[in-house]
Amino acid sequence: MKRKNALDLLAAARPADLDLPGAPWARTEELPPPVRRVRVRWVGAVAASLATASVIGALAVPRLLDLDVSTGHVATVPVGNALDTAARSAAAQRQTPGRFWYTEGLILGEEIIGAPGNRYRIKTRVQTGRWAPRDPATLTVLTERGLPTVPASGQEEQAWRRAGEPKLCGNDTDCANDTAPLGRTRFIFMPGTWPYGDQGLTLPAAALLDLPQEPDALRERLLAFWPAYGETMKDWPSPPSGSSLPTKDSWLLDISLELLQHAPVSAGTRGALYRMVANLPGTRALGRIPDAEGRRGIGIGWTRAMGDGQSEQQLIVEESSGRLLALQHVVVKPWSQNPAGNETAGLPAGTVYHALVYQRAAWTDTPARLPKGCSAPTQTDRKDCVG
Amino acid sequence: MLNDDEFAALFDAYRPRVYAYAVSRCGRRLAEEVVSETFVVVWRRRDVIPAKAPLPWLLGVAHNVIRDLYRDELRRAALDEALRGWTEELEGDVADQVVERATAMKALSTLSDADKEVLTLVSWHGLTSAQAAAVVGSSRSAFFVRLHRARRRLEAAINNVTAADPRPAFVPEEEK
Repeated sequence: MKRKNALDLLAAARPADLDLPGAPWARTEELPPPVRRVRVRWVGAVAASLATASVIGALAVPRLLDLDVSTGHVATVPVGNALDTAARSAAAQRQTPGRFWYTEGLILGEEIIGAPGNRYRIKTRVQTGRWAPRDPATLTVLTERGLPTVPASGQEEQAWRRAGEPKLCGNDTDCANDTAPLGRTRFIFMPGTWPYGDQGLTLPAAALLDLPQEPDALRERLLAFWPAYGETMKDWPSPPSGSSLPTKDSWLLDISLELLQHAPVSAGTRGALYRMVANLPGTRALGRIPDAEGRRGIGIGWTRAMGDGQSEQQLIVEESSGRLLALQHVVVKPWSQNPAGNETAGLPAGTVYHALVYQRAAWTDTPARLPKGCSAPTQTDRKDCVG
Repeated sequence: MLNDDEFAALFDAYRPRVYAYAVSRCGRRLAEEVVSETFVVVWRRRDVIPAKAPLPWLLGVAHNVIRDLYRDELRRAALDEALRGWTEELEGDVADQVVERATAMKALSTLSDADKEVLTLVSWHGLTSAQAAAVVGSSRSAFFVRLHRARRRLEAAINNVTAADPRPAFVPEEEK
């Protein structure tokens, strides 16, 4: 009987599917170092991938548009249940609170820049981290590190080349004094309760751990802060055209999303926050959707009209762990002119034009490691340094 | 750091290998996206590409891209689908050698995901143990142990498949 090595048998069974058409497989040898000088074909592949977020968003658009987004009460699946599994998973996480709630991720953006007649779309990436302290006397440390900005697709790259290949820098794209400097890290110091303190949730950071762990009780507790905050709005200047002051519901949503993203809250409160936001008026269940980095999770969303366009804010959560994957904004109805505070005019429907993608969130006792000569300020005024 | 032309040449030279690895991890359906995303990462990190023998490093990037891009269930489902297709193709041929290959393919599909990767890195992608260890991020000695165990399990699985569907028997090389 013929005896054979299992690995040889497996090697013999190697499927032809593994080979690209016209690209025979080199069995064992390392391919020679590249010497060819050819026009870049890789641009297409890179661009295709970079455009993935837009494509994904575009696929989601019909689902958004065929619903009555103005009422916000139409959902494809029961919204109240949309985040139940994720909420259960989140609440079941065992946590030992440390000195800081640490989050790490990416800030992704897409915008159109360039001189009139020579405009092109770019994608920006910023690596970010945040140490939110439990001790109210300790400052929040936020870091931002610029990653390379790239044209948003092969077509956009051609447009960029036609524009004379201007240097693409960090997030601000002006190549000087970027908030997130390319290849360097800016350390920003903020009050321990920033930003929810400024948004009216005037609780010391340590008290956040005691927030209710049941959705209705949590909603009631948070809304107790609304009247005082609403009162302060009397002194606010009129909002710009196309935007409006926060309402009770929009305030509750914003403060809840802020807590979910950055605040040192208990696992039980995190679960309650998921259930609560999924039940807010205007919430729509989106099913399993990808975030701007292509990771799939269960999503819910809220559409908002701004200027002459409309966007959807999407919250995406990993069901098995309850981990927040991303909070991102997608173009639903394109803008003909930039709405207040946004550079989004001209972006096609489906574009993820702003995303906070979370890679890590955990308690830690280790504070941010500051570069030499960059000591944390003792006051709570905003200060920063670049390392 | 590689310039655009050097990067293009690297892409042309290694794209087939990255594609093959991607197919073996998640089937053809998802492979193109893995290749694109892998070279996006490589492009961004083109200042650290090893000058010599970059294949293990490239496949290591692809390994991480696949892990980050897809949930395990989705990727495994795609790979299972591909393995079923490959097995069916082989089973359509009654030649002894082809039957043996079908048996090996069917046996592979019964193994754990980790075993599949270890075995295919060596047998389908032609990597040495040291190169394959670099791809999966383990030490050479740890990889050697993993490969040895995976191979044992493959042998057992082949015998199980053969026993369930009696055709030319397989006898492990060690028993010669």
